[in-house]
Amino acid sequence: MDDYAFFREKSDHFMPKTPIAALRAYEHNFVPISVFTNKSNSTKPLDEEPYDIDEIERLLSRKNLGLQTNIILIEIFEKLIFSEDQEIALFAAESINIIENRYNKQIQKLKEELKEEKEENEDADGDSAFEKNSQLGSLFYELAILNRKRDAIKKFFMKESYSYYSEIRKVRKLSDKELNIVVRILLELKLYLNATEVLEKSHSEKNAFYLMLKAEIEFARKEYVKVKEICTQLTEHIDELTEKEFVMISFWMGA
Amino acid sequence: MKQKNRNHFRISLEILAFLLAVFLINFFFFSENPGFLNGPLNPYTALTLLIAAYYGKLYGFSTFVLTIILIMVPINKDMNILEYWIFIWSDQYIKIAVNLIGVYVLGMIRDSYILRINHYKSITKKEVFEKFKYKNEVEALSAVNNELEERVLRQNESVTSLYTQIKALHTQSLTETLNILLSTVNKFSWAEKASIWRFDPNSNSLVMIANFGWEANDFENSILDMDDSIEGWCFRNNLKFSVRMLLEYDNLLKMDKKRNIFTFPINFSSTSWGVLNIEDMPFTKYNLYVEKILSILVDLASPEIERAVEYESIIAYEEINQFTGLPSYKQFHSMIGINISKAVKGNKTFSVILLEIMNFSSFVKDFGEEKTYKMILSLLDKLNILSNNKIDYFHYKETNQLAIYYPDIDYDGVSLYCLETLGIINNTEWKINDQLLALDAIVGYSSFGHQEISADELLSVAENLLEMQKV
Repeated sequence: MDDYAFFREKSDHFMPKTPIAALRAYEHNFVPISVFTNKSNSTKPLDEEPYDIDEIERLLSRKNLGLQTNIILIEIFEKLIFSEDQEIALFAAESINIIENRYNKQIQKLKEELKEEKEENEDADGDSAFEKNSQLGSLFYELAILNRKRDAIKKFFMKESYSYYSEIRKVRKLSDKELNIVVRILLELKLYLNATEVLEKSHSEKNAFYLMLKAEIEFARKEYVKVKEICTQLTEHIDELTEKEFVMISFWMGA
Repeated sequence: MKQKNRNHFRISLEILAFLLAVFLINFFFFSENPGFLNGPLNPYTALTLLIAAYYGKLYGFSTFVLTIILIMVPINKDMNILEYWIFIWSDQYIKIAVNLIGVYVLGMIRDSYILRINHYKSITKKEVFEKFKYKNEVEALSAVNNELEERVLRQNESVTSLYTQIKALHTQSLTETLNILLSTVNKFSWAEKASIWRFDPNSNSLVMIANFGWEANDFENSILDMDDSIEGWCFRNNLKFSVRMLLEYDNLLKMDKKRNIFTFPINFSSTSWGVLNIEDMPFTKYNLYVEKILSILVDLASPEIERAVEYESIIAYEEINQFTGLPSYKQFHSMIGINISKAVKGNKTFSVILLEIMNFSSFVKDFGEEKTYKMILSLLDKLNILSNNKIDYFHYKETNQLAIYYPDIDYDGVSLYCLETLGIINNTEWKINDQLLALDAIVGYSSFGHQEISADELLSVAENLLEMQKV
């Protein structure tokens, strides 16, 4: 008997309703492991209508969700807010609040830590302070992306994020990850020349990372001749490119 | 190691202190009884046995040797040492031997006990270590599981997602269809700005009909010249445009207004209708995959746009019902007429379904028309989901009658659909103002096969079925 025969058989099996109950039932040999797998995982894309509210709720209960997942959840909740079912509309509104509050709590905590560090030592410009500034910049950027449909809020968060990276830039060069975010912020704010300037100042080495960002800026400026030139330069750095980047460059080169 | 040495040193000091204490007590208070040899209980013997039981054989024997040495010390000055020693040996050798055996036995018991404890300790230590190892492994596996699951859950560019979006394109409104197409384009290309342009033969120009991401100043260019725009070039030549073509063709470069990244012509079965233009998108999404997906999307959306355009051309908006927003019988009749001639040419089938709510008038009397129709609209929503978003619905001749047009379905398919419709009507809890109601409805249907008949004949078959159920 395969594990999934358990689901096919129409007998009076004990069928747990939650993943925890399924795990306990499996530990005591009441059900096969497939019941736990079934209860604790989903293979249906979240963004498929009609929405699976139980599945969305289960995923939302995880506190360490990634940005991409949060973006999809917010998009779903923004649609569900207009649901005729008031309970679902309320659930959607509360869920958006939950996601934003998670970010706000992290931001608040980091701000307090940063303040304490500064109070303890006024000249403190150590690695820990930079790390916190960088984290704050990243969190504000993520909040901006989550609010991309609300232009004013998005721009506010983008500017907040930029201010933290500016603090770092006063003392040291930005890391690749930080530079990537800063360039994206400036592109979102349509400050293309500033983006080029930041990139030139922060990255002296003309490697694939630099060239990809440069191409992205030129593409946003609609300077397609320059994009092609950069792509030609990128062919000299094929070893550094990911498969996805390689496909992109090949497309520009006429493949 | 240091700890172990410290322990040995501490125990040795402890033993020496005890022995010294016993010796001093003997010296100061019991000097007439050297070595406590004359008495039922010898503190030296007791101490030796206690040390052997508590600290093991080694310390037991060491204490025993030290005890013998201390006993041999003559604490009385008047004693003859040699005689004293001979006395000890001759009088006490049995007790000494018993003491020696006692030390050995108690030491052995203690050592085996300690050995067993150490064994259990090592097992426990191993298990605790394993437990932490498994805990870390479980945490790692659950993180991997979460990540993999999230990757599956957040795949919004899947084929199933594309299928759902294509199904959603079927609407009774051209605007709605085009907006769904644009949202699908946004989903698959992450386009930040896109627009759909319709060819206007009267002005021989392209007119913007739907967009997203447009700002106020973009609307200044909502009518485009056919000869002086890339959109016009795509429409005239029925060719798609990709921005990298600007680097190869000077004629396109001259027309470029920095408004086109991808432009696709939208064609119906016999004519060109308009174009889809992607104006802004991230650099990372400008690739062959997205270009192909968008081509597929335009091809799949074209029949639905064509349907919506035709639908709108026969619908007179002044004749729609004020409560439901649905077209009237007259429009249904003319649509059926058009579809009959198309079905004959294209060798296609379709069916019509008539739905009559028997207790409609009592609902209207109790709750009014608006609430009654709202409930009926929720029924039509369920029927639309049942058909996979394929049907169109209209009002029929009477206020309590509705007509459904179901394309590409024959008589056996539609009879099954009607059966499921009745199932939905009977199994759903219908409510108005939270009051539970019994919806009494009858269904009639008729299918258009490959033999040409008029719209009236087709509808009369369905009407007859309704009448038969009323008898």
